[in-house]
Amino acid sequence: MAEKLVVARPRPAAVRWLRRYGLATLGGAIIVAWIVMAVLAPWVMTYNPNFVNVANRLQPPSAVHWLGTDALGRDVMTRIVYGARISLSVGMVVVLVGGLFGTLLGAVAAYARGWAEEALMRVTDLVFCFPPIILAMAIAAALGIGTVNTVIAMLVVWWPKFARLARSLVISQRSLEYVEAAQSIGFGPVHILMRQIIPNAVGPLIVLVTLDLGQAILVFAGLSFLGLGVVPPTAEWGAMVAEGRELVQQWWVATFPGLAILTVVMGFNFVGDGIRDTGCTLKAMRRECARALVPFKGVHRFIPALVKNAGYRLVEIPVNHRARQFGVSKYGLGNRAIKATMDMFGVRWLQSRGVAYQLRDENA
Amino acid sequence: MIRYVVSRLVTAAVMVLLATLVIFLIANTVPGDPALAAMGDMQASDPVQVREFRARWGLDLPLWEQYWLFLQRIAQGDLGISISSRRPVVDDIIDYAPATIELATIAFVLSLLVGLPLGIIAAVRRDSWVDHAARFVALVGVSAPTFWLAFIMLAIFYGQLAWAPGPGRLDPIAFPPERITGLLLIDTAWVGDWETFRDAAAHLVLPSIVLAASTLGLITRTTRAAMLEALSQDYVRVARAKGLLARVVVTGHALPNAMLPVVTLGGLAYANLLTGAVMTETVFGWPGLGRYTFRSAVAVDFPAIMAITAIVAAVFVLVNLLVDLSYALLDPRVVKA
Amino acid sequence: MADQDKPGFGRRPLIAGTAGLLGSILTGARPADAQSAARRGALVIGLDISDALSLDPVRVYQYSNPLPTRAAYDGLVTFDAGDNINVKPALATEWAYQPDGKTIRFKLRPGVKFASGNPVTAEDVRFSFARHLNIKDQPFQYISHVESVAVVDENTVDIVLKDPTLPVISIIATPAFGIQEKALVVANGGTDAADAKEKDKATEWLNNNSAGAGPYRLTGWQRNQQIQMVRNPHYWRGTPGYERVLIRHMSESAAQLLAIQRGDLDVAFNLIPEQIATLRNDPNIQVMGTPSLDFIYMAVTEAPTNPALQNKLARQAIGYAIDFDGIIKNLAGGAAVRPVSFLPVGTNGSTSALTKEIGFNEDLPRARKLLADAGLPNGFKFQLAYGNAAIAGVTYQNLAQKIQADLARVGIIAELAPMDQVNLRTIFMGGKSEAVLTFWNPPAPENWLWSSATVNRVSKRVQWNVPPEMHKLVADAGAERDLVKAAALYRKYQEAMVDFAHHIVLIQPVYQVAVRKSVVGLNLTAAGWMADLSGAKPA
Repeated sequence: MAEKLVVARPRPAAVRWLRRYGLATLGGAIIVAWIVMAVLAPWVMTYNPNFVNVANRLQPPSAVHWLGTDALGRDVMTRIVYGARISLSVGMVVVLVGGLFGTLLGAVAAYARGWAEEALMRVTDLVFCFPPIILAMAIAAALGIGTVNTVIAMLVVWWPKFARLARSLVISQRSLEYVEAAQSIGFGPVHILMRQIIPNAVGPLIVLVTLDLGQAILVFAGLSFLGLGVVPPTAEWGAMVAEGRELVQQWWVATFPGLAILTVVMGFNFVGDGIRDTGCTLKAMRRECARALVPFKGVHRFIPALVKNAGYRLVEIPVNHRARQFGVSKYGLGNRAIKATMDMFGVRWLQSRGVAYQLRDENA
Repeated sequence: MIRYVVSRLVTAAVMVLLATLVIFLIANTVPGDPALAAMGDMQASDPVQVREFRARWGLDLPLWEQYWLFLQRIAQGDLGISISSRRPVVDDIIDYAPATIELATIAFVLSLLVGLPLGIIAAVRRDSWVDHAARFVALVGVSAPTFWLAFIMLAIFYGQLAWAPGPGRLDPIAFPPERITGLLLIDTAWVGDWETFRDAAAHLVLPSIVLAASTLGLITRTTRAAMLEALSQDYVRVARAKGLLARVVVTGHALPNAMLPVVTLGGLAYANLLTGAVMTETVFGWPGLGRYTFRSAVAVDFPAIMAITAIVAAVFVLVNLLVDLSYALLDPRVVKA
Repeated sequence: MADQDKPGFGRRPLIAGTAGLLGSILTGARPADAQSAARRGALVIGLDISDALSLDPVRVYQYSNPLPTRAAYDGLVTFDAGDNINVKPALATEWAYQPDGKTIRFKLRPGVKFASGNPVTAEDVRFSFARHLNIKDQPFQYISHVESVAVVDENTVDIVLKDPTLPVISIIATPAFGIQEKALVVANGGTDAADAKEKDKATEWLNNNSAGAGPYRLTGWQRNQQIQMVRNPHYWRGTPGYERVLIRHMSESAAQLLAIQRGDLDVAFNLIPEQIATLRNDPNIQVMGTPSLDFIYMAVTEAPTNPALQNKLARQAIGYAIDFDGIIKNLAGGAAVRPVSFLPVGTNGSTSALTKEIGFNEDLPRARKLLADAGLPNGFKFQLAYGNAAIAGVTYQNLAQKIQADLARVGIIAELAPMDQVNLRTIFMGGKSEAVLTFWNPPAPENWLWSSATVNRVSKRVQWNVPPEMHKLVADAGAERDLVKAAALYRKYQEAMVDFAHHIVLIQPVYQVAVRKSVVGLNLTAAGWMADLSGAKPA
């Protein structure tokens, strides 16, 4: 009799992988490309980014100047690539330093509990409710305009969100049993915090760091746009957009630096989103794989292969089939061999994903 | 409950005052003298007049006394007189706030209208092309620098295509309506001036799209993540197993539980919009609080800076409070100690 | 997945609905048809009015508010467009110095009415000046040498000076000294008594209404949005051409460009050279150049912190190393001239030809020789500070970077220091700067105002020990009433200024104003109030 074995259409692995991680890889590629360009800038770019030649100003994109020239005759493309150096390094400094400081503060305060945690909450609240523009301008007015001072201003407002996140993560971990166990063994708080809690909590932090890198670049560009930030004639994307803001006819002066910002930040956001989607904890990854292996009609087909791989002998598998004769396979020999080989590879792949299968002992 | 609210309000007030104190101290470390920037050239060159100006504005008093005066005035509801515009700060803020409130509210509503459905659909049809498109749009919105996006939209939709009107709240030729609230849409609708209403609405389109872009991304992302989380819970499986319509499962069961982080983030996003629209307001010539903040900061105008800090801080802590209170409505499990 | 969820939200209906809403909003609110009568009867001006603090004439001294003030208030005298040397009669028909030398007698024009319909009397004139003298705001500083103003009879007024050598007639052409209607101002809280500084309360009312005899009357001011004025039917020169004048605040020059191209604006004041170039081919718009008396200059201080700058030759070397022509041709689009020193081109004694003769010009060998003579053959370093602003489309930032590049050619290193206004003003006024890029715009076209400023208050800022001969030269030139003799004295003054090399003037802009061809009779002027609206009418 005709049996319909409904099997979910197995999408090719490549498509599946692309759907899950395509954007993230694209983002990663963008970032790597920018970093490479920024690092190799002096050797690759032929023009001097600061060479003022007012007779040559505001030339549209051409073969000589691929992205045109700006209001002082400087090559836009060269300035964009040199600007990448500033933007990327500032973003990394702010996020890594601020992130490190904030995470440590938050984790320690959350683990210590009591008034330390309360104080941390109040301080972060305070920093959160500052208008960042006023703070940045006040600091710029007090210390002077410049890259370092703007980084300081940004650091002041950047660490609280890391502290908050670290605090919430540590809170979710600190009452778990393994912490209690470690404490009873006699590990000191530093060890517990550093070696046990934080590694378990690091996933969301990494996501935040990645996403924040893009955010920091955006904020720095915004501050440069407003007139703080770098000191001329240093090339910087936000400052370049500010220079071209009035030049609607000469659109290339403001458009290309903005596109640069857009692509870099998008890259970081893609990567961060990709990481976040995987969940970043071991448990989440396992859950992810198990969800990917949603039971569909016919998964039982792999169970023989699983069983064989584990070293057991196959006796019988209860299968949801119509009646058939015992000992007679519904498949021919050739089919069986081919299918069995394919299954073997499939199961190997499944097992490499760490999917756990439990076999029940019928006679137990 | 009441005690909780009261204690939160007290903390909020303390927070606001602390914020103003910090800004006051930082602003006082500025080496420049704001009096010189506020006076005309000839007056500023005459030391006698400069001294007189500083005395009149209380700039020579010791710091703690200046701050004490500020506190006293705030207690009476007087936010001081702005050095750079010579008007009471309250008047300045009443002048500029409605523009920002209108813009921020419209932008927020827009981002909700588009972001919520997008996030929900993206979560329900995970990994489909809709999901990817939604994520892409959200990420582009979050990644594009506001100042650049504003420039591009203006250049394309006003400059090239002439679909949208230019910068400003109204056309140059339009008569502004009688001021009731300051919110143009409400004022014109109140008196039935539909011509001006349409003009004001048209001028709102571009700036609110620009402002909404980043909030849209945030809301879509958060909704999607929250919905994914909710949809993977067991009770959703049970509901599905029970045979409920998919629509009912999503809207009736999963959505209310996913709303919590969305509400939090939404509240903060709205507060952000209200207080941080400097770039958009600059490019679109919008006479709002963002630009006023920027100009006051540049001029180191103490009364204005402190008043704005106080207001921004108050907005943030109040929004936080409202969000926390709404948890009690949305999630009965949350216990208020 | 086997499950196909249909959440049931029409995503397509939602998108369609939003798009439809947007579309209906946008199409329903097109800019007003340029042909409509209301539009034709109004003159719409695009100008950045964010710096205006007040429209009370007693307090008007910013850059943008003289325009509406001149439109609302006529003064005793005025300058015709294009002529900054000869004072012309306005509300006063003739004037003469009296035998005592200290008094100037003005005969008033009969039959002139205020916008309210009341006649202009000598008492109104006296009141206006007395209010200035007692409130003592910034405009007062320019007539601080006036002792009093007295009414002689119905049509005659005396201005009495403290010092007869100081000029005043050209100064009172400024819109701030327009004649105010005493009855109206007093009715709204104004006073000219000795304690007017504390007691006068009319400013708030005068910010939204005017009490003058000019072609238009102020009816409203929404800060950073617009200034509204309506026609004054009693205007003595004849009915003004427009029913309404709207000065719209637009700080973005790109916005002004697009608005004037679409017909939303009739006049755009703040365009930049790049945008002007695109307008030259527009059949509906003409670009009028108005030479101004403002200039951008670099003030070089004898800073205690920088021994190189204390040497006169080193400062002169700076002046000879800058590519002035390149700046004017490329950064300012050719729409600028350059004076010798602190006297703008167009005033008595200052011409462009003179600049080529005795002023700073790009001369690299000479600059190197000066450096060698100064003992600094390898150049030196100094700090150049500036604020975040732009004049006539030239940003200080671009200008500073260009100067930095120019000076590097002879080995002088300029370190750029952008600053906010507060810090900039503080270090500049306090004499603590090394070099500053800044802007000078005159309150009135009177030479003495410039020359005295340089040797008095500005000298302190650049730490210049002014020798007594300079003081005498300035005083003599100011007191000299014969124009030709004064021009000769001012030539000597300018030569001395170049020698001392404390002020290097870079650009004197010729403001390019775009005016739609539907407007005729708009007279642009450099005298300080940008444009005379009295003659403007629809084409």
